[in-house]
Amino acid sequence: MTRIKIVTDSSTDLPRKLIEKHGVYEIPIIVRFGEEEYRSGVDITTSEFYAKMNEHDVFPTTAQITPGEFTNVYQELADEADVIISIHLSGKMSGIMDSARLAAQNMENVKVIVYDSESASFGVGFLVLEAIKAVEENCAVQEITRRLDQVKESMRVYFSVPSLEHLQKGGRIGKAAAFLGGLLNIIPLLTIEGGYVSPFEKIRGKKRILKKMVQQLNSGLEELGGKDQITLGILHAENEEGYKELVQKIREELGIEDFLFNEVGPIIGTHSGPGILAIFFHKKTG
Amino acid sequence: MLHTNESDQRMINIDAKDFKRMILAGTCWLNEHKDYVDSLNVFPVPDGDTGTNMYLTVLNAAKEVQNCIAESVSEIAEALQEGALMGARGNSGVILSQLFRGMSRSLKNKNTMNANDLAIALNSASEMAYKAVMRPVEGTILTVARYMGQGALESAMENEDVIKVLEDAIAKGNEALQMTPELLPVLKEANVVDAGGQGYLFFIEGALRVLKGLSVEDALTVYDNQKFEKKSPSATPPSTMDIEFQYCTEFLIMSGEVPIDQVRNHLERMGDSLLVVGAKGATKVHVHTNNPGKVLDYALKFGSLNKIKIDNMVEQSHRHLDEVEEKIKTKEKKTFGIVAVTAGEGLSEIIESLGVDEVVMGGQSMNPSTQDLVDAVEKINSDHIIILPNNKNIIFAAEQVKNISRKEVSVIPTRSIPQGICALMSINPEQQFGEIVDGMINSVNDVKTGEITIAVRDSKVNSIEIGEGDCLGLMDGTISVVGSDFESTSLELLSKMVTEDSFLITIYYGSDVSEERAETLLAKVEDQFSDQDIELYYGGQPLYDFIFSVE
Repeated sequence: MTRIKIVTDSSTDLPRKLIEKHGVYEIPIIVRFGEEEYRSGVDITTSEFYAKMNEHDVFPTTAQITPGEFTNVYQELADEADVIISIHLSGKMSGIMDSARLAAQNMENVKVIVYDSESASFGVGFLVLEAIKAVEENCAVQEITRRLDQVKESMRVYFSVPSLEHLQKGGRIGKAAAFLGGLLNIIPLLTIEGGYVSPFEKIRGKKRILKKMVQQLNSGLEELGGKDQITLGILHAENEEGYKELVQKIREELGIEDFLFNEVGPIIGTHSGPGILAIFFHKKTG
Repeated sequence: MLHTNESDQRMINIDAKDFKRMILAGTCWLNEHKDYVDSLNVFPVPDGDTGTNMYLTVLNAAKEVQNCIAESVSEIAEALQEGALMGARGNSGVILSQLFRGMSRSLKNKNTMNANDLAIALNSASEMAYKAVMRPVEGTILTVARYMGQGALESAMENEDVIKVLEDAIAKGNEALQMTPELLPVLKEANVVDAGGQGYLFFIEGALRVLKGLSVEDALTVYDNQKFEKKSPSATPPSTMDIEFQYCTEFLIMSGEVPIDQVRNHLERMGDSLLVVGAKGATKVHVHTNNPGKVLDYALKFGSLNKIKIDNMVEQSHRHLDEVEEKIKTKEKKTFGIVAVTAGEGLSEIIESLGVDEVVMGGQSMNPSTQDLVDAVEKINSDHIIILPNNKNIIFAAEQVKNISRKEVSVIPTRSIPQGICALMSINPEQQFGEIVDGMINSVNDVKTGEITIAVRDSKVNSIEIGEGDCLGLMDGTISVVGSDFESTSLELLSKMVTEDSFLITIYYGSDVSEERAETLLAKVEDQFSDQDIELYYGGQPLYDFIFSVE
């Protein structure tokens, strides 16, 4: 019986308790406000993070996890695992994947599979949850990665931010740069494609953006086989109003009651800024 | 070749010189009456003024003709049609250019024209215009042109006198003009005849008058009217090679007794592009020459000089070329470019921020010419160009650009600024040119346009009595609210536009509106429409105090 351990980073936006309950090892990513450093989810909570963001003039930054930290974690788990599946934030958005790969190459007493989510937030989180499920169902390693691939392929992401400023300053704007600089109040609907943040559609008006998100979810449902076939997640940061309205629309118009919810944590929040509203969904496996 | 006797005038042949004079005279006569033609506007809103548009179109044609050193009628006709095509403004201007195109085609290879040629030309003009319009409507300039063609043909079967042919054509055209209210109910309701038909008649009438030796009134204003002549820096510079005479020289001789023919004959030897016209105690001289001093010396013999203006055209041309080349060089070649028409600095900044490369100023009552659009198209360093006319009266002129420019030009038939903005919003730069164009065309119907303006005269539209100075609310170009103040009119108009599915109301306020007044309206709109997002921007457009977009 192969013993498998799952490692991830604090970009998943999954509730910490959920992760810990299943024995997943989450490596905190460091958030910096100028000189101050915090391990996200350890030294600073989500609400503390946004409070600080609002009071500081400086934009926060994130520091990637070093290969050394990965080596330490993998080494620590080597005694209790034959295989480690290490699932992380998109390699196109951060250097975390590189650090993990470097560390993995040098591990001798344990096999480490480094898995690129090519996504962020719940896009990583849903992969971690799938891995947990597969491990609990005693799947072979090959079967687990196959299921991860399936989830990744069917993953749909739509999100909006009130301003592209944070994405731009953090260098995470990708092709959405095309939406910069308009005089009209344009709220871009964004997605993640090929591991990058990409523009989906230019939209004017908050009401319209909610409508468009529901439309995208609806057409996604049709493609993926209906609401019982998908796993849905909704997130926001400091946008309770937009979140409530979106949830209400999804309930009323699509009849969906079950979904995973959380606030966007410090790592994604650093790059999206407050006000983000996002939906993630994918086709269930099996 | 005017054969006159005591009681009657007869003329058998029109030569190149006669034809030139006819065109210049037609232009002057139309200028004299353009305000009247403008007043025949069906809707009492300030929009594309037919008289002004037609005049500016023929003015451009007249300049081509004036500069054309031709021995044959066919060359003059060619200059006429080309000048009109480039100068075409508004729908009426475009149709006029097509009438001239028809004439030019039938006069091909003619050195002179006799009564029969003239009649065929007038008829061919009408045939060409009918073909150019996608859905010809009777009761318009088309009907008038058709009757004139028929009248001319009938007349030419019975006599050889070109004057008589023109007289008969005009009589028949007038008959048609009087019928236009019966053919088009909107004309009847507004109690006017068709403006385009009237404008065409004035032009032909002017041409007839000069043949009969009658005055065409204040000829001076033709070339004085510089207000519309403001060439944008985008204008194609005249090629230096073409400039034989370097100095454009213009002045007035302050005397009513200048021997015009003598002056004309003398100056003809000193340059080209000559114009000598007299009216009301002054004679205007315009000539391109290499020796402006000699021209002025000569003119001083006849009286004191005034409004002297001498421009070095070669210098202008060089400077122009340099500027344009510099601009083109510094810009990288784009996969596609966008030209959009708008009035108002606010709106122009907004559309530029949405990716428009060249803004052509214009809109209601200031329709840009085909030439203006061609210039903007050529200025963009790209082979694929999208044009957003943003006004119903500019779409046709924009369509003409396709026939002139070598670039692949697509016109999105946007009839208002909100439609233009909607089309710009739909652009996904990742897509192919064709897909982008299709997407833009489809997006146009996603938005409703509202406009607030002031009635320019008393009128009756859709059985609503309208008094001059009333506040008018237009929905998608149709008057749907008449009120006494802008606020209540705006709210009533918006309540007609907004439906359950609307999610965004955008207000663009005009140049005559203070920020305060706009904010006041914004507050009221927010009060009344709580289910929609509402945004306010400075548009800076003239005449229309508010433009609303409802999506």
